[in-house]
Amino acid sequence: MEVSREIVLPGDLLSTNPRTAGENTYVEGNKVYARVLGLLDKTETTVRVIPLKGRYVPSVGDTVIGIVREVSSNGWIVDILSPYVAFLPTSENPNVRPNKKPNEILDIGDTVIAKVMNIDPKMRVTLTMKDKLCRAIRIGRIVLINPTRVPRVIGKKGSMIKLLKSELDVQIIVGQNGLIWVNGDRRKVSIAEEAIYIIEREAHTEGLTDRIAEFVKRRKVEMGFETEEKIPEVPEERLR
Amino acid sequence: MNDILMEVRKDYVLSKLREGERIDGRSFDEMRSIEIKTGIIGKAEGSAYVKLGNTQVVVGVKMQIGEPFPDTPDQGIIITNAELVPLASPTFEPGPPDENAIELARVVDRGIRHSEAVDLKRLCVEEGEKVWMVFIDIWALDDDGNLMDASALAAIAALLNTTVPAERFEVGNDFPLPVRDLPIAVTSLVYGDWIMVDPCRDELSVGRNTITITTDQSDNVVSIQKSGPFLLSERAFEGVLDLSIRKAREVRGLLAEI
Amino acid sequence: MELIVDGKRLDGRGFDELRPIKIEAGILNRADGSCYLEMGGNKVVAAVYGPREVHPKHLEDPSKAIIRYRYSMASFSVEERKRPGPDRRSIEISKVSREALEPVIMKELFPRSSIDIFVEVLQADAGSRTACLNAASVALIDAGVPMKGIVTSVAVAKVEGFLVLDPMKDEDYYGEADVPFAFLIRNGKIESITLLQMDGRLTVDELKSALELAKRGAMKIYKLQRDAILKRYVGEEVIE
Repeated sequence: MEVSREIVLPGDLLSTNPRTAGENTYVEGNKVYARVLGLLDKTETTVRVIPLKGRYVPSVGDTVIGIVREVSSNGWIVDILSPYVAFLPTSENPNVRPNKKPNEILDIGDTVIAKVMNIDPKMRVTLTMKDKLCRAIRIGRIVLINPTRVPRVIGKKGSMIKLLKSELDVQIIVGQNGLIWVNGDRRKVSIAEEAIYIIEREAHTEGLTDRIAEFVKRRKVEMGFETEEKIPEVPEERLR
Repeated sequence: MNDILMEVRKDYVLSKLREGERIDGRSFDEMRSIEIKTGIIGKAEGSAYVKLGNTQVVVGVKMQIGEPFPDTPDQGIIITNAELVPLASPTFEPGPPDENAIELARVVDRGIRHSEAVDLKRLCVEEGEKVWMVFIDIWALDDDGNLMDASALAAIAALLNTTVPAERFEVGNDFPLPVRDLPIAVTSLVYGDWIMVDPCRDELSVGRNTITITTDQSDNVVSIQKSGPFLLSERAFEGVLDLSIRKAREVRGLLAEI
Repeated sequence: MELIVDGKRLDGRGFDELRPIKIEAGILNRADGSCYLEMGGNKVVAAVYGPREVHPKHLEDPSKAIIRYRYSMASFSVEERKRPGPDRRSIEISKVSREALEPVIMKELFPRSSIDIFVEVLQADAGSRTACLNAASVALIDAGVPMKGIVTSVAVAKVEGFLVLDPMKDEDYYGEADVPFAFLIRNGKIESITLLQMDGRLTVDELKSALELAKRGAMKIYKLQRDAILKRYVGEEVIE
């Protein structure tokens, strides 16, 4: 059951118990205040603010989708739509072959799915592609949303993303930085895209999962999905 | 290299503050020694040199005839500019005035303008056609902090020293520029609850966070400028107000002697 | 010119009355945060970009974000066409405005990045710098930038011996003094002064009264700033 929450603004007083201070709050003079525009999530033990806006700041372990900006002999500089540009070393790209130049593997403008491997104290971000999910993207569609809505696209225990995948039979990989890759039958991908935008817009409303399920079913009927044009799912091995 | 030195200085200033002291032994409401010399630039219509501690500034006043502004056809015009020339500090770069130079000139200008120190109506030559333009040019020579107060003081001293060059422009006899008030700027560094009057450059390493209050000889406030990204408490503001009036009176006394 | 007639100002306002204010958040698509604001005849647009990569790179600060503020007046914003480009007044206003917001923004959270605030005055009518700061404050919240609280700005003038709030054009021009203020407001309480300048002549007592009058005006504007943000986010995205 989703609960509707109060919107708070920077400087709003959230609690007088500094020990409960959670994400996106700050403590001053024994009081806990909100530091960003967001939704208040208050429990007995913690007080935090779920941000409604804000640029993506990478964390180690995040899956991200980025665009290659520069190629060098030892790796690629990748734009992950963050104040911090990321670097993918050649040593972290399993597709590297001795007879191939780096720009033949990934060139400027290419899109990749990667994981954040390391962030140093000066916020220099290093990526890796040594993970099942990681790949260069040559097919399918990229949807861009407000990164603060990504948790809602995934849903509690992945419920939302599972719903979309099963109802539409599409592949979906969600980047924490707000880029989402969708692949499958063209018309189903477009339904998935519409659904994602609705989720982004109504992220914090009640009953969203049910509404999305209904929306998807309705659109499938509208688009007349009796016979499905089956686009083969790209097998993991073929991508490497 | 510079950054490391600033950090070291900042730590030193703070450690002294924690003991309730300033690094040069001054009390918190004490200004550095002041030296004023006027008439040092023969070619200018008026000039003054001020040394405030180790900070040094020269102000030259040049005058010429020009057209009045359309909405004040019977008034002279004052134009104030400041040049923070590279020789005055390793941090000053050559080029047009940056935001600091612009701010300094505009604050000095406001003090002179709103105290009505110069009777602009007496600078009219032909109403609607010709008035006197007074160019106040501030030239920094040595920045050891608080160029603002040094410049404001040098500006009013230079104006007191100015002779209107009517003969050279063939509009009558030369006469002393009519100065009828003595605006004095007092700048204080604010750090937390601490207020330090007339900060030197090393003290400013804790943050370029100052408030400048300019008052006229009747103790009216004729300009205020909070400068620097800091939070100013009401209490600090009221403290600075009272302090600035006191200090301005002291400095004004020095002008009487020149 | 008589500015006070029968105890009322030329536009009919009482001494402690603000001009009509209209605030809309999130009106620009490309910017991370934005705000359109009208205050009397002032019409201003504020946009926030960031935190983002610093250009040029040598301005980067390894320990915190750099804050940049650009106040600019459109050529058509004033009676006599203004040549485009920064003049000395705009440069000074940009500086003090930046300094009014900087201590409130949590810069240390975003090392090596910049937060850029741009404000354009489309129509000017006395107090444009205060209108711009109010808009910039809302734009920063809309961008999800972490801050200690909200910055609110208003000016007080002395007109024919009386202190009046939020001066209009003639009061600004013919009055004896003009004092623009900005405050950090947190949880509905004015915490400190972040912008303070004065043009004109006042006694110390008048200054102290001007401060009190400004604080009362600022609280009213603060509420309008909050309303503008809430209006933008409630409804579509959040159920109150």
